[in-house]
Amino acid sequence: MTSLGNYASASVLECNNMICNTLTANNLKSIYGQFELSQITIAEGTFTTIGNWIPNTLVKGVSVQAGEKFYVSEAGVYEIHMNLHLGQGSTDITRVDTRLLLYPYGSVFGGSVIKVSTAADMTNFTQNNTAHIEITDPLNEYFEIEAKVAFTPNSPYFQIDFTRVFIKRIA
Amino acid sequence: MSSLGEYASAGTIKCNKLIAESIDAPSLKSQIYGSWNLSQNQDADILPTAISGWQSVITPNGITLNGGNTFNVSQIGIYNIQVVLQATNVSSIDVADGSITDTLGVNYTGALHETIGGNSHLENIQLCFSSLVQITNIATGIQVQGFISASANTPQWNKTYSNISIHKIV
Repeated sequence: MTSLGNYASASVLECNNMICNTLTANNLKSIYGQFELSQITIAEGTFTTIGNWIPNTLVKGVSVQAGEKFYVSEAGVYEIHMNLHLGQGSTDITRVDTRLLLYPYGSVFGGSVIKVSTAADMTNFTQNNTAHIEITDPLNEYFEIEAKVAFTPNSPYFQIDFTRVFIKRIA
Repeated sequence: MSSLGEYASAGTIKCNKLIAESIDAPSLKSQIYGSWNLSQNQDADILPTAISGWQSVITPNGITLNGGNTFNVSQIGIYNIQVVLQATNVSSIDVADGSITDTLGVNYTGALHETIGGNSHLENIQLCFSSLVQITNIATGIQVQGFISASANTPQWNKTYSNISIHKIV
């Protein structure tokens, strides 16, 4: 007697078991997360980790610790999108560096630079970026987003409205 | 009571649920993907040219790099292509242009930064763009083309931040 009573043949049960085992082994879980800033975040003149990240409602299997360290719950390949919006009060932004690093190694997996040699008349700037990262040890590996900004003389900051990080497992 | 009535055990229901979930989320282990950056800074051409010198960032699955500048996938399907190009020069960059193309000559999308008169004082600029590309013949390769116009010096595509990521979505 089986769980399907007299209607279940051995081959059907075997097939069911194979499907269950395969699906379980494939670990079918969607992991994703979107994060934004809880407050405007001052940019520094040297590479500094951007903090104050908080998840919005679109989060499953991704967490942020200490407001700056992104952890995922499972090993895999992850696609990461960054939209970093930098604003300033009144004067020029002359250089913006952003980058994505995987820790504990400190490896750079993506980033960008905009730089002008003289005054740019630039008071707002948005850096978009994308990268793939492979996580093999989800307990100890995490990533951070760093930035540095050259400016005169005000203190530029990453704005709340447009600054986002989106993470999705793809493999 | 389940869809299988009194004959359904907890295990059967669990199995049904897993099957249903698999329809919504294809097996992650069968995904096709890859990510590459430049092995060294590449001098940029002044005419649209396929950028070469890519090296894998993560171990690719189902995608091969041929001739240093052409990406071939192992299955037909729809692919999400994401490109970041970092253009650098000691002095001003007048035009920086990048695009996603294929070996049949189709141009899918790109990004263009252009200034007036070659006096922009722009030394670094990033181009970030993406497109969905349908591959109906796996002999068709994907390329990233780019060019930079500068009034002096030798502009380059920077190895640290220039990247292409490919991921099959359908």
